[in-house]
Amino acid sequence: MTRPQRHRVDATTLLTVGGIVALTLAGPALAPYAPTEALDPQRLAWQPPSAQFLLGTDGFSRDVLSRFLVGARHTLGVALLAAGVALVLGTAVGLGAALAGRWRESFLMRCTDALLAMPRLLVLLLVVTGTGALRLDALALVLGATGWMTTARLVRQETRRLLATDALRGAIVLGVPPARLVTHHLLPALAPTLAVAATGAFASAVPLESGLSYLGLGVPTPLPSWGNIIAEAEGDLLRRWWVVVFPTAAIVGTVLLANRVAERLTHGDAP
Amino acid sequence: MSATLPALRVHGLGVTFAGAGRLVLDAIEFSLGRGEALGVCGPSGAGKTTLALALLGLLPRGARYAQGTERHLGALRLDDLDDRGWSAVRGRRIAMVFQEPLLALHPALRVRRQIVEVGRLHGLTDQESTRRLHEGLETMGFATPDRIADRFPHQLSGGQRQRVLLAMAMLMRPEVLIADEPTTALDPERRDAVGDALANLRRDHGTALLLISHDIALLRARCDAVVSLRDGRLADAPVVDAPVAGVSTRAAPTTYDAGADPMTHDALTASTRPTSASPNAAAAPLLRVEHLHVGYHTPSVGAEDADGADDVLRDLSFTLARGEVLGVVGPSGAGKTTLAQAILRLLPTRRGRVVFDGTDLAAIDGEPLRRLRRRLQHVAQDAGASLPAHQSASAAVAEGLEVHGIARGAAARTQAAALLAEVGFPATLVDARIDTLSTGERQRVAIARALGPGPDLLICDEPTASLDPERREQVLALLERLRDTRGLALLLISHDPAAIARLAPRVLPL
Amino acid sequence: MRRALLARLGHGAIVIALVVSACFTLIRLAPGDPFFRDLDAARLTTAQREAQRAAFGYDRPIPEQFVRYVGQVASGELGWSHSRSQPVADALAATLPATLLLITVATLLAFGIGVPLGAWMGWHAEHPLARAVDRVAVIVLAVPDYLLALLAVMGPALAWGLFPIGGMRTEFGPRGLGGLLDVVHHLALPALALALPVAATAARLQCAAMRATRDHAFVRTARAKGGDDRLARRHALRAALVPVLSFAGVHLAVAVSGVVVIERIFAWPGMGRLLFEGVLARDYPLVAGGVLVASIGTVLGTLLADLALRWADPRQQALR
Repeated sequence: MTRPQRHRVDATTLLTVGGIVALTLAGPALAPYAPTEALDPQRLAWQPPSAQFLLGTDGFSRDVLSRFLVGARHTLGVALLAAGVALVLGTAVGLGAALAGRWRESFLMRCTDALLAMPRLLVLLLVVTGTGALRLDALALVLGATGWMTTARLVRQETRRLLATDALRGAIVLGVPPARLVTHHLLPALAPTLAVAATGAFASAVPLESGLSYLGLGVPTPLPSWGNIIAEAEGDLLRRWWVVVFPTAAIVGTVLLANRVAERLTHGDAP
Repeated sequence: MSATLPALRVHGLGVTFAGAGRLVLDAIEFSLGRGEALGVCGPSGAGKTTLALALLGLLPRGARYAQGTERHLGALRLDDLDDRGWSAVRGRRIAMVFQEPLLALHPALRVRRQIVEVGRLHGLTDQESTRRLHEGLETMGFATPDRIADRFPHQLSGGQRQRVLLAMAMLMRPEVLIADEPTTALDPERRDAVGDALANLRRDHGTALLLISHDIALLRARCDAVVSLRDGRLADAPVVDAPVAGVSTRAAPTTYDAGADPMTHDALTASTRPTSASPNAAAAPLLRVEHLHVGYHTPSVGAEDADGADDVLRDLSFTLARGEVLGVVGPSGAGKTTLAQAILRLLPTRRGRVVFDGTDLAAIDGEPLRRLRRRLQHVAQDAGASLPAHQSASAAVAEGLEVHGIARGAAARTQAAALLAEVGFPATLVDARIDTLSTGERQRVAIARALGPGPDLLICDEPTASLDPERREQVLALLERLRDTRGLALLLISHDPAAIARLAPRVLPL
Repeated sequence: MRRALLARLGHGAIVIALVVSACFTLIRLAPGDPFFRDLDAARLTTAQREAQRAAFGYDRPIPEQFVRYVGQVASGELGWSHSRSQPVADALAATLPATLLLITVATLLAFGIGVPLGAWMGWHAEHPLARAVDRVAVIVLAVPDYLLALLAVMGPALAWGLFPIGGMRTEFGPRGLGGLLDVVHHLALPALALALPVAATAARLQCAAMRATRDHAFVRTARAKGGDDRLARRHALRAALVPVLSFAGVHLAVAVSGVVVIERIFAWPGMGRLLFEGVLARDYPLVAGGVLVASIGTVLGTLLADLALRWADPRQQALR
């Protein structure tokens, strides 16, 4: 019996995920200044990067590096949590659809289609309209609640495939009940798919959260997030480049990394 | 051989594939005159298709022609042609019919468009192309060429696609026609029609034919000469009657041509008499199958063989009493495993009933069905694949006990160990992960697992296939013992005559 | 074939019905109801407020409210926008054309560039240029759309002054043909910004599909018939359109989300900018109306793309 080449969780994956989690947790501890502390509005506003302020200061004379590090926790933390929520919801729906009879499956997938048709940012805007600025955990929850559909699709597809394999058929013939089928047979086999789905959910949550924060509707100011740090430039990209370049690089880097991880998980080492 | 220039002459043709290291084709040499037909046979992988592709200049990326390769089409030297040169020649002077018709036809274009395109590429008016299209399709035995031409390839059956490809290749009346397995999907009547059409092409238009097939009889019948290709080299083809080792007209040893299967024959004669009626018919049978029809699920829409004709199992009926052993025999593809899956409700049935101990299996579902499964167990053909790869042998067997409430936790594991011992599984490997076990060991685990729930009927699918004689003996002895000690009814699917002879007093041929 | 077509339309209708239900749920979930908005709250007495609620059916059981809602939506009645003092439907209708223009042009641009580029990349997959383009596409996709707009597009506008920075028209500018050109001039950057990520994905999808298809047997058949490289490539492309057309259907939801940010950055007077202002003004009915309209639009767009998909691959008779 040969194990398939793909779906191998390798060192790079673990390192990357570990790195992101570490940054999320340890970031604030590394910040030299308090992220919301206006150090000297008269003289230290809009200072370019220097030895004292590695990433410069912003319009309120706050240290950008500190804001960047704490913002990392907010951006990444929210995205991770959102990915978790999306994963749980999506897996539940996907499994439910694949194991249910034709009509229930059809209904669940139509619902998924309908929710996918609703532009995600608009729905988020609607929520924010109703509730005003969201707390971080509420933001993560809402992000996850609008982002589980792709996971559901993936899980359903893979579950259907698994149910047709000899191993699952053998379990069904043995008489394993659905609940145990899920916990002992399906979920372990779904682990690689779930990893890919979670990574995808994370990769899509980061730009969304930063976009909302950029618009001023995400992480509530004065709390920093990579998105609202960029927003401070107010379009003046050239003269205030340091509040734009570093968070942008961080966002792009994170998404690239997450996509790479997802690709590795799907294809193993071969492209 | 004719006095004029041969239609096709090949000298010293050699081909290597990047990375293969060796010559795929080695010093091929032959000559084909106008209107002549040459048959090429040989085992799969010998290079027959590569030869055909080499003649058309269509070798895949990374393939190289050997030094000294000479390919002549009439007066034209093919080796020197550039892309434009080839475009003028292919489809017009030399044409090919490929092996897998579904893949060779464009999935999104209608047949008409694909065939007429050949004419367009070589200067025919659309009117003339359409006329030839109709003519060609009619020659191929299509009664309604218009309807066929309007269809998409996936809406045709395999045989129809093959004939469409032939009509396409014949459109420009090429000087040389290469056909790679042109009649595999056809029934005898159509096969003759195609053979006649090709003969007409040779006679009326002087087309030279290179026919590639594993069917030596066909080649002998339709070709002037037959050669065989083995490991990239040509040799004279053997006479059909004596089965020559190596040059096989059959596929790999584990599959059999229907009708000519010696194993089934042996299995049948090994038992008393093939009958579907159980001698213990008086007592209520454990399993009763009535007029069972199980079909394939083809995705094609409107294909020629619709509803019913494609069924794997057709109007199958038999009974099985408690404690009885029934053998199920037949050539590969006859539906033995399908029968098992149908009984186990892993497949939908088109018609008919399966009644297990008085319960119509189609009538129950969910929890009642699951509970019934306790008494109806299965050892799959690929036993190891049906086991959970990451669990230990003990856990896998214990699971059968736990899900049916027979035992839990430590008690389950103890019972599991006992079961594993009963089937002769080494005690030291009880906690080993299943994907670390050998094939034979996995099979035993599968048997032990199936026994756990305490079934009345055990379906064994090819329990002795791929086992060496010693293991085979052990498994057969085990099954015998189980039959005797547990009063287990067995549905024994096997092509192994020894197994059937030993265990099954009755046999059901498929 | 026709039955499958009807089934697809039916499927679309069901999805729209579910979208309407989802919007209804979102509306009902809004904390409070329109009659407790700060603006109106002080001016109405309790009795008046109750009367208003009854008039709008807010005291009815939920199923009845739903039916009412569906009826209202069907007749184009989407509520009242208090921040704009006009019916929601009117506000949306006024800005919809500008957004439609932007999205249509962006989509055409995106697929018009992406598909041929991807096809070329896939056909010549080993070429170093093809690989380089692929890497660029990956990076483009990693950048959030608003950043893309800011950096890649605003930069040239601000720095080099080649394009206007915002708006749809020059104030007091030319009319007629000149006016049309003026609009196009203003449209260029926002459409490009919107199109870039879509083009990148389309190109990558097309590239992957083309790479897979070029080795298929029927491409070889095209050559065997006497076709040249161009014909073979055409045949391959024809069969490789499925993934990118699937994507075309799906990308709309994301594109509409992107429109909000793009319109804000480029001050494009479309529905996205309208909705954004609605968010700031806490104008729930307006934003809810926008979500509904956008969602239905997406479903219709997906339907169109699905029909194109059927043409491209006749085997797709039944979807799943």
